[in-house]
Amino acid sequence: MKISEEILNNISSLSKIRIDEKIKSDLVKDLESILEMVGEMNKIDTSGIEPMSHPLEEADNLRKDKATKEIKRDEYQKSAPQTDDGFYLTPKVIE
Amino acid sequence: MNNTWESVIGLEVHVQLSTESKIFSNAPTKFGQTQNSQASLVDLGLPGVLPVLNEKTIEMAIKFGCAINANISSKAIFARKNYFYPDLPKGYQISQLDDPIVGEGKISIEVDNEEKFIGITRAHLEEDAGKSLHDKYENLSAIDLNRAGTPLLEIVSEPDLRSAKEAVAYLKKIHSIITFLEISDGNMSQGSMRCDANVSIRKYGDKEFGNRTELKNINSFRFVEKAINYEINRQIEIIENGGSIDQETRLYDANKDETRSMRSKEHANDYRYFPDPDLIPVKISKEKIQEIQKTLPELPEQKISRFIKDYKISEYESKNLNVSKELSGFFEKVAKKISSPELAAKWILGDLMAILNKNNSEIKDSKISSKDMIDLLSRLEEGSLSGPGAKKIIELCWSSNESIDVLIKKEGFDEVKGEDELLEIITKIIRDNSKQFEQYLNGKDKLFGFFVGQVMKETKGNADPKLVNELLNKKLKQ
Repeated sequence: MKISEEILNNISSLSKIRIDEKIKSDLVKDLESILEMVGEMNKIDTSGIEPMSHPLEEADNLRKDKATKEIKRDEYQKSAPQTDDGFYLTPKVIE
Repeated sequence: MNNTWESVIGLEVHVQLSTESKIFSNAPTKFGQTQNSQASLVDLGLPGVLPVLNEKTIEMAIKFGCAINANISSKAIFARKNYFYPDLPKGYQISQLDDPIVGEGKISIEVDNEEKFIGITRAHLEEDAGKSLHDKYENLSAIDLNRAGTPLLEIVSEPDLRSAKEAVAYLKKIHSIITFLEISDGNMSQGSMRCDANVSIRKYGDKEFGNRTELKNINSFRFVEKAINYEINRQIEIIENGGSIDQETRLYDANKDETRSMRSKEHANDYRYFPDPDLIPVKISKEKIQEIQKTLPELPEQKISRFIKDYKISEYESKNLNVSKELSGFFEKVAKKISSPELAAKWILGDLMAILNKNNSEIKDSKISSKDMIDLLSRLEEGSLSGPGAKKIIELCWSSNESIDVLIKKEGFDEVKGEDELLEIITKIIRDNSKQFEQYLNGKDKLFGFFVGQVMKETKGNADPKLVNELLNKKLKQ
């Protein structure tokens, strides 16, 4: 599969990763070779095989509905770049 | 109603499940708490934490599935829905794509006395996001993650609805099912039930759907109707003027009663769903489903028929009493304690509802308890309180903290006049109003009402109007 500039820009915007103009042509080559490798796997006949969503068997690792009283907000907020009045602060983002 | 254009509506309803802890963490889910005081390390999306599924959410989803006779999946798989937004710290929402826990089902609604079935495509479990506040700081957004990780059941309907009215009926039905099942408090003003509407129009008879718009986050029954109607008219106007509808997300602005474009689907969000490797698929056994099926409470439709049968009330009354679990419970408590359940239905749907509406209250916040109602109606039944007296007492009961008995005594309503006393009063009134009496005897029948009024005035309403009529009839015709 060919990676066009448009596809590259779309991936960049979806992943919120800025791509330097200078590396774009190299990146396109890399991505194309990865897709080619994945394309190899598409040649395998998987008809009749149930898709696996997880390598582990289905299990009953469920939690009882009990709430903790141990929420250490002030401690958690120490690792945030900016907080005030108990809020986490981010650059203004409005969708 | 428009004769050319048919509207096609599908709803996505998000129901907040009333669990004690969140869906993937043990943080509490209480509403209205201090910012970020209900957000655990898992909800904050810190590196290295792992989600563990709350078993109650699975049970609640199965309950809903059983109630609408839907297929329940034998396994539930959770997937990551990827997008970036500050109130979603992980960068993905854990949701379901393939194998939703609840598959196809059906819900019946009634509009203008006609029953209609609305298909349910699916219902799946997912976590809620946090909240962003944009007006607190000038160049910053303030993030409160208390809501992050709250369990949601998203119920998706087929595009089977054909008017805003049907959409409201459908939403009310979902509301009654989830509240009767007690899987959610259904409180729309607190966001426990939110709704997105997909709306398109097409010419009657057309098979193809038109381009649809998605109306986001509508949070009351009234706004659902208004938002959809606004959107239908907007689309008709555009198409009739030769335009076309863009597939987009629109936000309903209740203040301006209009919808406006939120984000264009041109750059359609590509959520890049994939199975969440942190969560092992949950196996749901037939035994588990059967076990839950057995614990299913009586649902609105079953209650409606039982009330008609057991309490001999009308279908209309039974339906209105079963709009909520609280109201139907209130009625049943009262109906069981007095001899005439019809009287209970009449007073609860009549006077009590009027008082609640006047005070913008719901039955669960009623200051008139079921015990008050039992006391009041028992007095009415035994004839020691008159209808007008009871009306006054029920009003006073709302505004004071006194019991019915105390109020009756205080207001002097415990002196309902007996037959002998009434006859005495009537004799006196006839004597005092001899002119009117003469006119009545000469055929001025209308004056009967005058005499009833005089008696009620004299007794200050402490008389049974039926008895007054009866006695007056006898006396005046002697």
